[in-house]
Amino acid sequence: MIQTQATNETAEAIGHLRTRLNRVLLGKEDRIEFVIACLLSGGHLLLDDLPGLGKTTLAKAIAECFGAKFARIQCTPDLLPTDVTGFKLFNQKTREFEFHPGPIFSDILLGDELNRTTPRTQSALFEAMAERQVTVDGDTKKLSSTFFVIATQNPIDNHGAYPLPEAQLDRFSMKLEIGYPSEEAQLAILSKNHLKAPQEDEKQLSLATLEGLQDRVEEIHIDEKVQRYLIALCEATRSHESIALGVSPRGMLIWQQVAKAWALLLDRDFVTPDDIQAVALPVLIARLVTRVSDPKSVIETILSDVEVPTYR
Amino acid sequence: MPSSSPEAELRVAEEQQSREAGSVFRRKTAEKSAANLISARRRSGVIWMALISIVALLILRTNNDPWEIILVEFGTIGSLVAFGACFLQKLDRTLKGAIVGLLSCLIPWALDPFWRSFNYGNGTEILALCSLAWAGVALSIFANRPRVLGLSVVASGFLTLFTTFISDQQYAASISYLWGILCLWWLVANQWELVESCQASHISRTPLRWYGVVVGVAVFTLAVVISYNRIPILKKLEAGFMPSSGGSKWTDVAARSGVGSGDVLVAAKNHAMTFGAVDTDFFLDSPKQSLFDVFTEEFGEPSAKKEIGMAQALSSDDVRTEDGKFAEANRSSGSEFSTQRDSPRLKSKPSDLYSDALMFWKGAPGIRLAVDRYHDFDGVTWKKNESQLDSKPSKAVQVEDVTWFKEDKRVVRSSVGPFVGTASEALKFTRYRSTFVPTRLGLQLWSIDMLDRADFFEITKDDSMLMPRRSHVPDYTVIRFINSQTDLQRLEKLVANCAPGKPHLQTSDSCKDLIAEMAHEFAGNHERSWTQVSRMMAKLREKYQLDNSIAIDEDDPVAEFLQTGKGPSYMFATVGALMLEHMGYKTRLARGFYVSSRNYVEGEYAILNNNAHFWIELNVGHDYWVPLEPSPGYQQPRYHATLAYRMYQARFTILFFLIGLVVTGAFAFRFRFFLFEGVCRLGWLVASMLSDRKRLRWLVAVLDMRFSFAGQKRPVGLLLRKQIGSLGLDASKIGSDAKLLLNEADKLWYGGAKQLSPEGRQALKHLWLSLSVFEIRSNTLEKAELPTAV
Repeated sequence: MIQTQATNETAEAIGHLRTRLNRVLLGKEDRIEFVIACLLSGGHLLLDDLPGLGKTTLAKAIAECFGAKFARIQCTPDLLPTDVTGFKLFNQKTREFEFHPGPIFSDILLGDELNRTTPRTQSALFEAMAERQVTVDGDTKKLSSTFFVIATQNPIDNHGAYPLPEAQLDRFSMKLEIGYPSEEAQLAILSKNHLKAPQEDEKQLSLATLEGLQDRVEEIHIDEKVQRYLIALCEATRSHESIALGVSPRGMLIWQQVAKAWALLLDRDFVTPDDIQAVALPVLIARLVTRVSDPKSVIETILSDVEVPTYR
Repeated sequence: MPSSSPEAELRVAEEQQSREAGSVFRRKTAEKSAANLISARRRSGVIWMALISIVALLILRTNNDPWEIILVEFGTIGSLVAFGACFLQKLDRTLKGAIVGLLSCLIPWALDPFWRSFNYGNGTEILALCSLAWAGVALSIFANRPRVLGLSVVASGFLTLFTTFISDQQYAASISYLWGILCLWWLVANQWELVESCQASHISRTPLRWYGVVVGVAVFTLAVVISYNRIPILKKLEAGFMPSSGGSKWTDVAARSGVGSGDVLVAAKNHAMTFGAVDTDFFLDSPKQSLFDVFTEEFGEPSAKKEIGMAQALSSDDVRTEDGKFAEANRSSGSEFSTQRDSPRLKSKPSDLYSDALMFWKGAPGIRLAVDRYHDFDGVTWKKNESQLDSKPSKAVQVEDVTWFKEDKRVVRSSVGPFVGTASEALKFTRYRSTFVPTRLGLQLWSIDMLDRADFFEITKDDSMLMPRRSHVPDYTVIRFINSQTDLQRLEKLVANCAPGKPHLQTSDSCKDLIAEMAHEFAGNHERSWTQVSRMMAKLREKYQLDNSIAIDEDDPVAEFLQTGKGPSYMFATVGALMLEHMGYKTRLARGFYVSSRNYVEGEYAILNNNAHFWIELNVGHDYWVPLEPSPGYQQPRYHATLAYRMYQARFTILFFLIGLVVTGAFAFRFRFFLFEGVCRLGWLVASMLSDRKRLRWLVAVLDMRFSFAGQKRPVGLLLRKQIGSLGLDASKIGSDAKLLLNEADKLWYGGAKQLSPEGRQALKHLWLSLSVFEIRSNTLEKAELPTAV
């Protein structure tokens, strides 16, 4: 009974989140599902798309949903690591160094055009993304337990850009392209119907709710057969002739975690091979280094070649 | 209980990776490279080597087995392996290899008892070699590791070399050369880079694995224990595995125990050359019966005269000694054979083939060895024709320093005989008490080691061989024969052109009509030909029942036989001869022994008292005779014919078979979906009794086959849910049932549920019975037509 109640609350919270995000990013229901899965899995999201497609709006909407602290970094070549992490300043009155936290000390961080900043600054995000802590002048400071990075990068205009290294790419759970909205969605955008205020009876979610959802993801069961299937897929990426760098063990763990979140979104408490396949594309495209120009086709080939368990 | 966070797991993974970065990378790389090493080139080389070993085995098997058996056996296993390789895609490669390999190993053992019923079959060691060969093939095809693939190379190499060593074929060595060349190429092509990469600087020492040592010592100790016969029960493992091991009861009826046990009764069994040296007191005083007694024991005593018409006192001079009486009895019994006989005495089943054997035959079983022949029949008694009893000494010829004997060529015989080819056979006498040497028709040459006197043998006009001036053929004499086979094609020509024989068989008037009626009925519409003769014999065997224990004591044995419908083999031969004579064929009754395959003793066949037998010999012109088997229960005489001729003979059968095959195949192909759905419906009766998991497993297999039939084979990576979803049946009952079932199946398979709900089971049944090939095809067609319709 308690379990049922918890399940109902989970479904209700996810439903609220889905509704709110779909309201701000029109006509992108499928992308929203991936974003929620990424958020619930405790991972980080990389949006690889053109400017003006609603990336910042999406990040802000997530923060608003949970009443979370939102911060945004506009990455430029002259951005310093301390501009991200914060710095210590000597206080003349107290005769002590005081720490001034940077934008990384937020719940939701939007790193806009991450590939515009230098690798040195990019690497300042490494520790934060992987371990949810930053070290400034030898002092390690914990970040929010629900720390969520949405980074964007512009796929065109590569002059003066610093491509994200594989190590950093591997720390993102998934990479998404939002794409242009449909005609209907654009009509709604122009009429600004979607920007109406939340209804009064609409429930306000909290960070505790988000933490609860992330804990719920941890409880999702994954059978050994599904794990073996996941391993087979990862092995296939490592031995595929069109792939220079396959999925690392870390990537495999992230894949499993996202699949669990996906199962939760579908109101299931166990993972099926379907979930593994469903999240494969955004998860793999973030981390595979392919020798061909169309990584999607390679991923599709791998998914179709590796035998999926079918009740046998 | 919630598991640890992904961050913590990531940290652990990173730390471990950093600690063991170098070694893990090397190991991973090695594993990866090992997995990739089974390239198509590498595997194909091993498959070729395994196939060569199969050829080597095939050559070895041709020494003993006919091509038909080899083709059936190798074809069955080969088809199984091919089926496993080409189909069964759903099965794991290792599992598939294990199943196919195991079945391939077991099939030779399973088929062997079947072959034995046809008087063929092989020893344990040959069966073990067959298993090894097919295991090598299965390994070469299904191996998923280079090490396993290497096992196949070892198996095929051992088999090829071993079979070459023990093969009698001269060209067998070329198979070994071929294998060696291929193996060398394979090693160079696949291992050279590995050898180069394993230079001294890269060698890493592998520590001695203690469990490997323990297992090795245990296996070695066990082998020593077994080989020293310390444990009696383990001795049975050894028995029958190698020819020298003494055999087991199953493979060798004469076997009792292991090597060198001294159980072989006849010391000079295999290479006896003794001739006459065994005329010791022991053998002279032997209580064993004479040839006369042999037939008497098997078929009963001749019935005593019921009435004595006249008696006359004999003078004391006329009283002969017991020996004289015995000899006369033998002679009289040899010159005639009455069909009026008492029931034979009850015989116990011989348990010791060595002690009870009259002689041993080395050659093919199912052969009839004639002792003597009878030509005339007076309605009750068969008698020899005096003119046929004249005998002539044999003639000696030297062939490669060995003296062989042959019959002095008869003038009447021409080169157009029914006999072709040569076969080496031998007889060894142990308890035989007659001067007549059992021989078979088609005898060309014979010899006894160290003997060059042609006058030791005489051949009568009716093809019987005897050793004159002796009481019997000396014990332990081994006579080697070169015999020819009866060629079917020539036989048919001879029979068709043979002139009708003169009547020499008599029977009562009441039987004559019946015999004539039977002869015409059995002959059917066939003209005078070999087919007619064969058909008559076949009908006789079919209509009447063999019973050697029956007493024929009526005045007219033929009438009694025809009335009761059963009798001993001499009655079959008598009636058969009468029928054939009525149809114009010339025949004679042959008395001798039938070489039964049941009495197989270490490569030879023991001939016992109860192998005494009667049959017919048919004259095919030019003074040539061929055996006919009128009695049921005995193997038909073998007639040699080329495959082309046999196929020509069976052309109509083959034609009808092919037509039937094509029609059946076309019918099955046309209605394959109906047939498959019918089988599926029957399968549901079985599936409904299974557990939910098994039923679900079967359903997936059935649906996969249905999709394949409908031309929509599910790719290995495509989920069944998506495959069914592609049919666009969401709005239908099938669609909703499929969704319900697959959700429940996910829960059952991956979510820890124990069973399906009643609704889930109902949905499963509905899918099994309703989502047919037709349903899939119709929805596929609808979808395909949609764009044009829109």
